[in-house]
Amino acid sequence: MKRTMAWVYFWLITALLYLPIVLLVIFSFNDSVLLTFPMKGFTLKWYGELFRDAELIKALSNSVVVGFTSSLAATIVGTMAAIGISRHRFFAKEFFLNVASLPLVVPYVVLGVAMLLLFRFVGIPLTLWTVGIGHVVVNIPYVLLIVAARLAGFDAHIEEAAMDLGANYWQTLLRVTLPISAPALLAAFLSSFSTSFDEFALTFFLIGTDTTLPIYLYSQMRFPSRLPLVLALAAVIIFATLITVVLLEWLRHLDQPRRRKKRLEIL
Amino acid sequence: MSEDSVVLNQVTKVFESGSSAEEDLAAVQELSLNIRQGEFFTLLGPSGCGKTTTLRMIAGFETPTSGDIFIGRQRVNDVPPYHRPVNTVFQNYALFPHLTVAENIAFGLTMKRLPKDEITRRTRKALSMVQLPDLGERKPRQLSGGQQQRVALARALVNEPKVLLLDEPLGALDLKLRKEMQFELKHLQSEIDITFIYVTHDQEEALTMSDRIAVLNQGLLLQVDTPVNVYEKPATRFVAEFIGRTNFLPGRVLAVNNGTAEIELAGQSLLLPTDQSYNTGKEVTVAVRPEKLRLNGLGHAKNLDEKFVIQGTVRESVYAGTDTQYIIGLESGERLTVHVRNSQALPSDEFARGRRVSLSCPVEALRLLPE
Repeated sequence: MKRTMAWVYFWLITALLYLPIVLLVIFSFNDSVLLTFPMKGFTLKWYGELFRDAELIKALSNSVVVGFTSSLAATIVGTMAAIGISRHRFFAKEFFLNVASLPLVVPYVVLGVAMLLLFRFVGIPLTLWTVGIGHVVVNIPYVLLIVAARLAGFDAHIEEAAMDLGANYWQTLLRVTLPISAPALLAAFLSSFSTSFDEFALTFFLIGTDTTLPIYLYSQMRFPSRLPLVLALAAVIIFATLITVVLLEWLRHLDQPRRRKKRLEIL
Repeated sequence: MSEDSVVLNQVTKVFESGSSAEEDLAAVQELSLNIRQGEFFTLLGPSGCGKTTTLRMIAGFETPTSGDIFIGRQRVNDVPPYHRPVNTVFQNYALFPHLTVAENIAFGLTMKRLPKDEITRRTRKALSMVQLPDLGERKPRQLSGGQQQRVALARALVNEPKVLLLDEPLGALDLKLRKEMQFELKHLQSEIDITFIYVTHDQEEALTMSDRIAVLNQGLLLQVDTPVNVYEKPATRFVAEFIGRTNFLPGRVLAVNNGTAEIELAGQSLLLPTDQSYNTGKEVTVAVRPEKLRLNGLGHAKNLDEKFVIQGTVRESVYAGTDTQYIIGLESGERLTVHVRNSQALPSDEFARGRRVSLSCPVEALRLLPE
């Protein structure tokens, strides 16, 4: 009885999660602008139109550029913060950590309004740069946590060993600390990128005339004839995301040499 | 063996607790040591005694709160670890997981920007010195604990440091491997003539490997001496208890003159050497090692050259292979441990539980512990 309940529960949740996605992918191949059964016929024309839609391609490339740049900046700043927090003693460390983690708990809508006010006040015009700055701010805490976890996971004696063998602070950082943390840095970058890529609430407040993909898609929802195009795009993104997730999982396994060592010992 | 290699002069290290509620902790207090060139010097003590902190101050990972540290003739208090002529073998080896064994060993030479062919040559030599000539291309995690230990040793020694610091390097190995490595380390040290400063909590390891041992407890230096003297002439009750096993007997000073004290011990008057002066009537403690005591049946004639004799009853006996360990209850209520070597075929039931026995030892085996 208990087992049946668990089974029903499992499939219910799975359906709720994946049915819309499956429907979306199916309808992206439907030869009609109406999302109703029965379907009219199989077509790839929406996918074709996708690549001929200059505005959409522009929005997509904006998103990629903002995502890449802001993730790179967030990874650099977040990693420096992580190294500072886990390897150095300094005044008001706790306070600093809490401030850096604030974007984790403040709703993005609130953050968006606040940053909008700030930019207006200082007189910075809204462009993709302001969007990028917003994305850096929200991604720093994630980078910090991911990298700090990695730093906490490896023996601090390893860095002392490097210094003992003649490496100064920067040589130790470049030759030992960062290479050992590399999988975490890449994971942090990818996670930042995916956050930036589909961020809507914050972006909505900070966007200028150039749009990012989520904002563009939302604006297209007003025109029913554009709907299949949006579906096709969504399908493309889902596949891209799947590939990213697989890549991240693979990196996470690389990140755990200890477990692998255990496996070796068992062999 | 004349020149000093490492000198510590009144070195104190205080760790700030970080909160005003807790007191700051003095990990090392006014420690002075003269470690000689080419010596195998061991810092011995229980965990928290300050031995690792001392080693880390010599390596440069901690700065003394006060006092001076010299390596060679150079005062190194303000010299960072990467400019000190010392190398360290860390407790858990701390090998670089992302580098191969050969790259690990070459790390120090690379930092010195030596020519490539010299690095290759010396790395290869170091690998064969620790008997791992074919494992250069492996990653550290593919090696066993013992092999990792050798790599850590090679990585330090390849730089030809003036002083090698070893922080419980054998602690993670199993007993058999540890014994082998003890022997190998000692052998290696005698060949390369580098000063070894060795940190351990294992008193047996310290006794078998060291030229001299410094015994520390709670940040204080208790005794520095050869293994023989530390064992035979412990400076304090703590040293006597920490190194090997010891019996303590309460005694009373009858008289003191010219480096000897007349002590009343279990109803007998004995002359024991001392370098201290005591007031008459002072309560003192006399230590005697379990293997120095002889167990005699009551029926046997007294052994004449053994001056200290005491009677008791066998309370317990434990067979331990090479020897049998007896607990003897004295009339005064004290209990003494006696180790008797099983040099005869089998232990006789002469010393079975409940038997009355007499214990004896030469006066030289009794050690009057200084205050």
